[in-house]
Amino acid sequence: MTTTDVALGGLLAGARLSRRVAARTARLLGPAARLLADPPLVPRRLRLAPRLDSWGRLWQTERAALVATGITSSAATAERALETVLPLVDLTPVVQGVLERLDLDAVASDAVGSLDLAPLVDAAVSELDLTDLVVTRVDLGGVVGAALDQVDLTQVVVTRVDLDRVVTAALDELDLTALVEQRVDLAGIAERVVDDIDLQDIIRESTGSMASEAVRTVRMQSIDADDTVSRVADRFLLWVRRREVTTDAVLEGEESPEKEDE
Amino acid sequence: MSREQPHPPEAAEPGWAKALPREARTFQGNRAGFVTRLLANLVDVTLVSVTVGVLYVGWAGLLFVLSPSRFTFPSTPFAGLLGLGALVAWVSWTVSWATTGRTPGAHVMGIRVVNYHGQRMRWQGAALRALFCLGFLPGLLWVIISGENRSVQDLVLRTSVIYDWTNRPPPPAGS
Repeated sequence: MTTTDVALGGLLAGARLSRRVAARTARLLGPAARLLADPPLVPRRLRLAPRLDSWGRLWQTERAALVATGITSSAATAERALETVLPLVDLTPVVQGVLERLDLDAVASDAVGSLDLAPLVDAAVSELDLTDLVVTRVDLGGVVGAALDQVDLTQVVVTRVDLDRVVTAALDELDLTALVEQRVDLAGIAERVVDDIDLQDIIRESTGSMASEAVRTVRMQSIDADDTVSRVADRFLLWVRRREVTTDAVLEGEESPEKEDE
Repeated sequence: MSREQPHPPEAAEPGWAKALPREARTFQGNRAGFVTRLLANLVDVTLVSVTVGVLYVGWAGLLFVLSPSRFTFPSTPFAGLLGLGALVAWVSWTVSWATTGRTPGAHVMGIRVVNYHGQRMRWQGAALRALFCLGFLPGLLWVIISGENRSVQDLVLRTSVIYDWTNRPPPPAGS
């Protein structure tokens, strides 16, 4: 217990005693005081009570304005005092000390927990043009490039996209015939194909040399007969080891056989 | 012992071969055997005979037109007819071998005569071969005995008779 405690305790006890004394005095002297302030048979303008009443009403009327003025002037005074004092004080260690003692996490979580964030966020989002914000503030090329670098886009498309439907829809919307007719040199292709397969030659051969099925049959049968005769003959002719029937005839597109006659 | 099948496989077939029946493609260009050539010759001989007959009838008709009252069928010695037939055959075969390489009979049987380069025969060679064939018909029999399906005429004149069902004439001699 310090001296200050003792002194302040003494002051408090004194104050309480004064209040009791005042209350008792008021109780004893109250009727006499009221009689003095408002004595009967005395003209009203000479009585003290009406004057007291008018003082009370004046206070009641002016109290709010006076309080406001007092607060304003106090604030101004405090502001001036702060402006005078703040430059003189190094606030950093003070703030640091405060921050060290504060459990900021707890404070923040309490604040967040007690706040209804949804309407706040809604309000903020409705106030902002997010698209414009992103377009102006974000390096979209970098973001998209980085994202694409990390993604196997082909694999994503193959696994996630119904390619059948996409292609079918595309084909449904396209007039392929018209497209091919416009873009493809059909005449050129046809001409090249005809050149490659030598169509004229095939037509000539197929209509010319194949006179009829009967002729073909006779030819094939005679070839078989040739073969039979050759085999029978070769069986008896010991000097014929292997009948050589290839010739020097060079048919177009055919490799030249051996020139056994030269 | 069997016939060689020297031709390339189907995948390497030239365009002209596609027009031919599949079973006939492998024989194209090979020397023809005895039966085919005999049949072709029979067709040719028949045609020559018919031609001689037509000429005889035409000659008789001309005589009839000139003097109908005294008309009798001309008595022509067999040797004369034979000579006429030989002449017709020689001319027609020479022209055939020197141009298309095939006589009518060869055309029917799908064979063609080519020289030792596989080319069309020259006129003199064709004329000589026609003469040789007419003068020595049994020369064809050597096809059976030959190891290369060649007649005596082929051996002497170094020609070949090949299966060729196409209408493409062989390249001219010396090309």
